[in-house]
Amino acid sequence: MATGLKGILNDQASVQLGRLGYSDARVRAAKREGWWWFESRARALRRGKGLLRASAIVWTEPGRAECLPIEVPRAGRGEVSVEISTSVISAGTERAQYLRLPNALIGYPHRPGYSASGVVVDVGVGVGGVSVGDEVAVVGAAHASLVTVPSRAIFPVPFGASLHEAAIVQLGVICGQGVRRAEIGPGVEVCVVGAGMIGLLAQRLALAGGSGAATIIARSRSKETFARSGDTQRFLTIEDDLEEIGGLSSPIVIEATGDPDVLPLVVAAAGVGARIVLLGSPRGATRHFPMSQIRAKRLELVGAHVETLRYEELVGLDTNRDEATRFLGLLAEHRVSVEDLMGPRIDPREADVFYRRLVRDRGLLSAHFDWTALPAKQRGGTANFLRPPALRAQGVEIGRPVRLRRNVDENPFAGAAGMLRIGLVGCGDIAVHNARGIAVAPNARLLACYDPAAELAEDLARAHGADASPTLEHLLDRSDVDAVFIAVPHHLHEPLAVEAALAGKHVIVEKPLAHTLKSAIDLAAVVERAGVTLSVCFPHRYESSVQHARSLVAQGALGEFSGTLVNFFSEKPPSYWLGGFSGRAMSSWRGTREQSGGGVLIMNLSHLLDVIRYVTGAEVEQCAASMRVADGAADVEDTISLSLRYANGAVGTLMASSALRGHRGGKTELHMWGSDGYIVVEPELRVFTSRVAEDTVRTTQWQSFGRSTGVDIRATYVSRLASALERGDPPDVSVADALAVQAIIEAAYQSGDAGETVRPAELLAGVTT
Amino acid sequence: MSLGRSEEHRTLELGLDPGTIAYVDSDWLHMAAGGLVPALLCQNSSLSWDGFRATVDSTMPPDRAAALAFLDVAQEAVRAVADVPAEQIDVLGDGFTAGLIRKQLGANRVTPPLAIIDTTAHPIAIADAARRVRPLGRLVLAGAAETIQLDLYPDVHVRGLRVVGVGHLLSSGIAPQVPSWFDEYLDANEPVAIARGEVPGLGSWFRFAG
Repeated sequence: MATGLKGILNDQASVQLGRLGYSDARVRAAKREGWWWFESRARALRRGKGLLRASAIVWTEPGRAECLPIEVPRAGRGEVSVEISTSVISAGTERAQYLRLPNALIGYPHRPGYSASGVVVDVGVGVGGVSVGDEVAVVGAAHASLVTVPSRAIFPVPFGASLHEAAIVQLGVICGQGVRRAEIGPGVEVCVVGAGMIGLLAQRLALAGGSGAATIIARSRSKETFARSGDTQRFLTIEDDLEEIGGLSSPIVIEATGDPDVLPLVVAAAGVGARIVLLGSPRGATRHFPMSQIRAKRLELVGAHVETLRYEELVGLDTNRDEATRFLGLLAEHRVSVEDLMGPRIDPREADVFYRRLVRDRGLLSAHFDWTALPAKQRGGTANFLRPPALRAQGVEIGRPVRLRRNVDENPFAGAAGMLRIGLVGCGDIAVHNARGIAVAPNARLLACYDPAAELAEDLARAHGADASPTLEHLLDRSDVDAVFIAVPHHLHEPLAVEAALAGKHVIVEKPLAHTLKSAIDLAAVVERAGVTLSVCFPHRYESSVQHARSLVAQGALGEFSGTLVNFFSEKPPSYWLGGFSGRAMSSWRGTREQSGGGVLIMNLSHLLDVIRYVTGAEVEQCAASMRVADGAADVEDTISLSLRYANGAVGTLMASSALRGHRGGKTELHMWGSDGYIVVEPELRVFTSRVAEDTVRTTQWQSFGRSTGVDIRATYVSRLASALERGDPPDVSVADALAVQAIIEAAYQSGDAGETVRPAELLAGVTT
Repeated sequence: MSLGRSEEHRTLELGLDPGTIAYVDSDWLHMAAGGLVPALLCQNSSLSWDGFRATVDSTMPPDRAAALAFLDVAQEAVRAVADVPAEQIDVLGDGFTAGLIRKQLGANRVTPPLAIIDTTAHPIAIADAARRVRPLGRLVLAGAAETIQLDLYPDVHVRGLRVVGVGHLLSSGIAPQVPSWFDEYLDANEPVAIARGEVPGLGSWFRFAG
């Protein structure tokens, strides 16, 4: 409900953007940009100052952490601008907020963060004792590469203290005030319940302040090393040492877990007349507040939220400054060390990954954002005050990505070597494309063509300046032919390839390798014995989108691979199956399973199965298929639904039909995703990743590289094969690749026929030559 | 002991040994129907409370022995706020203990108080007291309950309150200093006997003989 002018404007903005067709997510992004744009300029104008450009961690919605560009005003009166190098993540608080736990509810967008350190880059009027270039610790600073804060929020890092460690200053204040409230006398024993950041640091500060022996009580021993390095004398666990805990009779107990149900244990550890400091923020009500024990032991419980410093301020005390100064002094004098408590270094661009890890990894003590990891342009600089707000909210959703330029080398023939002389066997539909590919490849040449229909061979030979061979034997007898490119009905792949291999020619087979897995394995075995190279033409690997996707995956854009989605929609006329593809060669082999091996899966989807393997490196472990002949023009499937399970546990689904009305143009979708990203390979390359995969790709926004550019993928395939043969390298598409795809296809068909799941690897192992 | 409710009367269902006398502060009766009600038990010159037991002078009347136990709690509660001006202290409860505390503190109160002494042990009353007491203030727990449900975050934790538990002579073993006004106060506030478990509407504390 709208409250006040801001609320009314907010509601109106939603309505107006909705009328423009904005989705809820885009509305949120546009409003955020609009409001921040306005707010930052208003703040700058108030100060009579310009704007600085920076990056900040923003929780844009539940479960989404982004490193977004922001603008902050230069330091005004009483303010200081600081370029941040390290900001510390409060594992407990930020985990609770991220999970929206009780007493930690936040609104969105939310900017987490509370403690940092960096170098002063601007000093406002009226600020003394600070100069540009000074190293300072900053309390209350949200995670950002640059902040402008009141001068009271900064504290010079004293000589002897490291700038990195000083970033933990806010935690030093929190724990320092807690220890102060404990009023620990010299040499008095202290018990700290909880071995998180708060507990460990509180114990170290207590010891530095002159306390006696310290005991830490934790849930497990996972953090004992940290405790011991802080000179904890005794480390007890709730699981193993309950009796000992009950006998501690500690005069001072600092509760640092925030677990509301741990209080009875805290009370049990306390001695008569003890003081219990509640340092951890309780996440909900204590169900069994041990009233009678607190009374019987005459305990004193002291609330010690850092907010209490504000109440002390009201009575004229600047305890915040006192605590910060004391803490930094202890660091400088090396009486307290926190280096081991800083946790892993996180690239801010990977904040989304980190926060999800924070949820999973309960053992994670802390972490810190390293803002120096950002490219200089993202880290900071002068902002353009006059830039208009970017209200289009590009990149928020898959349908409206930010357009990027490809940065993958798109010269497919770079480094081409040798000159592969090729004879074509089979000069029908696809051979036309293969012949053109050979012609385009700078290191291949078409020498001869053969087809039982002589006019087809003569046609291609004429077009490419090659010879038309009258017989297959004639072509194979030519000593100047290095390799034979076979593009014939699938059931003929094996016999013709075997003949070519035995003639000493390298063998290129148009996909698939054969019409059945057994035929493919037999073929491969003969070729291997013949000592020549065998490769299958899977040219879609060389689509620029596939190449770029593979590069992104290799750089970690997906994180742990977890799924694929393939949709292939087309409407093939009955003549495709029963007459011929293009009309160039009349044939009905595609419509019979004995000759083609199958329908839309083996004909079209084999390419995509190869692409998935090529991009992800994942092997299909299990197939479950349902298929049907919808049109009845042929006896091969024209519709198939295939469920895949990959060896790493990822799952995939494939839906293909060549009998979809209204899909004459055809439509292919290939999506793949993982723990940290999502890549759409087809119909155009789009990526969303939480990982820093490459410099041009920004994390946590949808970006598009457009449709594949006009690379001749068959020419690329031929050229790279020619180069590999020249150098003695294995071909890009190996026999193992071809057999793996063939095994998936076979498993799918067996599954569809039998109605049960089938494992491709078992088929491969079970078929003997 | 368990507390039941009828339409008109609160009824205590007691299972006491012969010769045992149970004392109940009226503030302890707020427990939900069917819940346990704390009691101070007197039997054969000994008092037991909250699992603690102490021997008392065999010549001392049980009512006086019990009253001294309550007085001890009241005195300790007052000691817990000794550094706070009396007018800055609020007392929650209408029972015998609360009366003894008020008697010591004299007239009060200002709002918001700097300290609140609770004798009810009622979770809602305590949560309300935590909200009312000033930041960095003090909340003294003098009510009798084994455990209660309590959210410490919004007030105790965030506003830096001090929560102080006060015990009684049975747990400390220290007899209270009996003030001069005590006997007169006790005469005016004798425990009301509970007959057949029915709890009278009036009375600051009650006695039930087994």
